[in-house]
Amino acid sequence: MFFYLLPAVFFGWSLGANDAANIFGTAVSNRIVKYRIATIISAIFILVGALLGGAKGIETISNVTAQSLMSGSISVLSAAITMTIMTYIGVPVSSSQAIVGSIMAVGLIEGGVNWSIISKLVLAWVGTPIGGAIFGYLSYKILAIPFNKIKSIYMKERVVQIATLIIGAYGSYSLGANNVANITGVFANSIGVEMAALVGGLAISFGVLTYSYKVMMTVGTQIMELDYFSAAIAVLGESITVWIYALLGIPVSTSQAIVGAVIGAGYARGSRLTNKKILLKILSAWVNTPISAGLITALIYFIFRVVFKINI
Amino acid sequence: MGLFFGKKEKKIIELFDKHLDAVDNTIETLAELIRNLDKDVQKVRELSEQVRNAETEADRIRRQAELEMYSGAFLPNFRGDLLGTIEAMDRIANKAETVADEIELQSLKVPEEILEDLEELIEKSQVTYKAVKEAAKEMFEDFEKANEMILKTENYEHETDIIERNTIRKIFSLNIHLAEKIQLKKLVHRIADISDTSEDVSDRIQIIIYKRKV
Repeated sequence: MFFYLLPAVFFGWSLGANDAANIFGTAVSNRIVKYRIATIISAIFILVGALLGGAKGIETISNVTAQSLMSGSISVLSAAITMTIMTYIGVPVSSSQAIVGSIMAVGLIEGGVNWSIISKLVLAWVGTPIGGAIFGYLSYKILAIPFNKIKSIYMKERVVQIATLIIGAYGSYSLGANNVANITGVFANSIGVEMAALVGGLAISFGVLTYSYKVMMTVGTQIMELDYFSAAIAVLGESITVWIYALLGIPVSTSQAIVGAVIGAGYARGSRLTNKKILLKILSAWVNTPISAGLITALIYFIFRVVFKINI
Repeated sequence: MGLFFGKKEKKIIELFDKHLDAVDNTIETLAELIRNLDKDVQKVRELSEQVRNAETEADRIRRQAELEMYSGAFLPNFRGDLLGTIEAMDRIANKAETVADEIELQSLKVPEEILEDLEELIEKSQVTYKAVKEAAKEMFEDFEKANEMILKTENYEHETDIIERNTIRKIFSLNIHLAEKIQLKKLVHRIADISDTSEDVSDRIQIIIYKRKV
């Protein structure tokens, strides 16, 4: 069984390595929070999130189509390969969209895709950056009021620092609760929801602890120049969005949520950033990722069946 | 409030305050020199030396503060702001030293008629500096009070300008050589520079505060 779960461990590891940056990237690259502290907090709360809040998403993913241990493993492997290739050639991707593409391919081949779930998922993808923007904007407007009442520079700094840690913990919880389904959701029918949450959570945390530094340093300065307060607020907007989707049991992309949240917080602050390039990037990810993942899944399926004569 | 500061931050604020006092002391010594312009050369030389020493002391404290600043106190973006403020404050001490040099190196003879004006000018300049000093201190404690002090700095600087203009007008009405007039005009400009630079620093502090408004 462990063999079948290996692709999930790899997929979770790469998700953790990539997506921790959406939570702590700005804080770490700006040295508001030390990298070690950020990763430890992140790893702990991702695992807690997966265990306490991951069940609903896992159920959603496991209900898209009937999966065996083998077909689940192929789905995850294909999603992971898609992520790796697309990241390598520099095309933006989302693990949530990759896994759905893979599962759909399996469903189409085997027959029996639950289209109502798929349409719910796709709607949620569109809602993610929008939700991020709304919550980024609102959080900014609301929290700016007490923040502006602080009169000393040092006090402001301290508040931002502590808020960054608390929001980071919350964001990590949301990430774990929301994205664990991408990693092990397909195995829920074989190993049980709780076990799936544990394995997935551990895999993501492991990725955060071992390989997140580079992405954090890249992402932190990429989207838009933000002051420390706005950066923390953007992460809050992202976290609320992702958390709500976790409650609804819909895995979404933290990368797309943070882009929306940065735009929302920026808008609240007065900078009107409507970067068509960013929007295009997200749009293309919605289309590219599931299709590529689906094609790769079909290809692997084909190889297993025709070349190795394995009945899946 | 005090309890809220970390150890490193406290140390830097201490050095920052010490530097502000050292700059203040440089200006005060210069004021003393200007009050004694009618005394003998020896006295002027002695006081000029004291101004230079005071400036050197300010430099020393500035370097110490800068060294301490990159030990990890405050968040990175404020370190830059603070560093800029200290450097700018230090420039005020340099201006004071330049005035002392101007007087001593040229063995400047100041006509009795404008002695009082020069005294008034340096005193008002010192008041301007004291306002910006207060603004800098309040930056750590209370933005609103800092803003008040920034406004005061601007007002004092304006008042210094008026004294500066009147003094120059007076210099050019005196019955002395044009060369001497120009020499004295330069001296007046240099003294007023203390006030001008103080106002520049207050602008800087204003921006630091603005940047932190969300």
